[in-house]
Amino acid sequence: MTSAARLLALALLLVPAPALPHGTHHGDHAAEAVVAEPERLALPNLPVTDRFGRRTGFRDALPPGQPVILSFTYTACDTLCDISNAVLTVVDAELGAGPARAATIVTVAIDPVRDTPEAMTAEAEKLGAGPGWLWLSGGPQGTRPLLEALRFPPGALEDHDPMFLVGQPCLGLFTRVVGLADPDALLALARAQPPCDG
Amino acid sequence: MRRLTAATAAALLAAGLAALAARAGDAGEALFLRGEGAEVVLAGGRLRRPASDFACAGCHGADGRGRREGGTVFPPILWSALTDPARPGGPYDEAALARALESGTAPDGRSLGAAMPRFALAEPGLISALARYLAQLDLRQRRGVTADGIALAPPADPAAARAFAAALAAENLAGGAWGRRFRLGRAAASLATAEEAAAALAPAIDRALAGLAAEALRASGQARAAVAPDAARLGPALAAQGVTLAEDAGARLAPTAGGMRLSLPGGRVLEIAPADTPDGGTPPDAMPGPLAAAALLGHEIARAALACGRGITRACLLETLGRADLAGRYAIRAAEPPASSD
Repeated sequence: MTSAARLLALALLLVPAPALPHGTHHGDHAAEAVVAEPERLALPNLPVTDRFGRRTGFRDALPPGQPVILSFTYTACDTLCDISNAVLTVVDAELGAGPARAATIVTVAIDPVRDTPEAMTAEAEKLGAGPGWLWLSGGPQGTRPLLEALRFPPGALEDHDPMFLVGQPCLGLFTRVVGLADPDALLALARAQPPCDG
Repeated sequence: MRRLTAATAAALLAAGLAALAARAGDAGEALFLRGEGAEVVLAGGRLRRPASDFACAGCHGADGRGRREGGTVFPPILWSALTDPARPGGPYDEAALARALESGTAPDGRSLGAAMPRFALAEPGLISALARYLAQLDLRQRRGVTADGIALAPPADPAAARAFAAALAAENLAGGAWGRRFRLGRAAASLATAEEAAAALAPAIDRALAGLAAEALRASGQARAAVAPDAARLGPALAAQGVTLAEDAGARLAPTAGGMRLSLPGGRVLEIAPADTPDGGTPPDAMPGPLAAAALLGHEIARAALACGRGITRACLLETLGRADLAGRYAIRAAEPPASSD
């Protein structure tokens, strides 16, 4: 099986029962996680600033050879972002720290103006995010090109579905999860990423 | 002595009960607005944290009327909506509300979606307090709204109050909003005060000022600007417009009473201030800044009231003001009239 086919098979297995359309109830909460077919995505090396104010390239900021879980947030969010971030808190804790850590979490800030390093740090500290959880912003001028390169849908800040991209940057292959993912599903997807030399 | 003690005891009891009742009401509000008194239980119980980031108002709106975000629908949770017998999924009562919050179960027994967290309440009495608050919400959110009127409290400054009233009177002449006329009322009997509305409108004003300032800078070939400390809040919005902020820049932005003053190299000074409004509301050119701002506020309240519709709420009014596009409501003028040629 190719990597893509293997990931797709895995992705289909991972869809939790309530994520299927029949699992939504009386229209209260329409968006449950939908896992898409793996897609080709070369992570751009566009300029970003991390939460400590360090300038770097997006791709360069990632530890080499490690799968990543990308998420998107804005620090002024008071709705679904808080739940997405709570999911990632569980994922971060499960991944643990140190050299055996299986994946890097990367939260991409989508508010070009208010997601300053200070605001990202405040959010990260509130969540107890560990050192393997990166917070990156394209800043006032770099946010839009970065989001376009990651094929994050355009639109008002506060009108986005939760979205995760799980993949292996060196292979340029990512699985897009739209909606509130289960932390175990994200972990399994990250751990199933093939190694770079595979 | 004995009787006095009994009377004192009765008075103390009454005071205590009143305080308890007041606290219960406050507890419902604190839980709804700020998630106080509850923990959120996520990821199947693996994560518990204070519910402060997961307050009802965050997703369902401070008016409780519900909203949507992307593909997620946050349903209305006003008590009238929750207890509606025709509600799909069944009507709620207090026990059903407790089951929804604590175990994510709808009245008909099905599970609520993943966007609705599970909560652990500090004490069971909070459910009743929350239900009471949800029942009051409609009334609170529609204070000052009558069949034919919307009451607003004017600014404290008499001159600003007159400008505010004149703007609302012009809007009443133009038809008011959904059959209602704007009236001036006491703060305690109004949908919002002018001060509250002004605070809600402030971010929209900042966006408009930053946009116009950036445009004027571009037009005069300036890529850099210094911003006075009391206008520092405009910095990020200016940067987003491509302006580089630099202390030593030749162009300088400083706030004025109703807008912004832009000093350009070579001595040119531009004034960004509320413009004449095209619809007959007229803060005239000569109107001093604070009065023009009060008039602008009156007109924008009227526009927001129209956008909110017949079922206007306080939360809708204030949120709509914050989203207002004021680019066309401000104009740039030379600060001094051009010198005459005699």
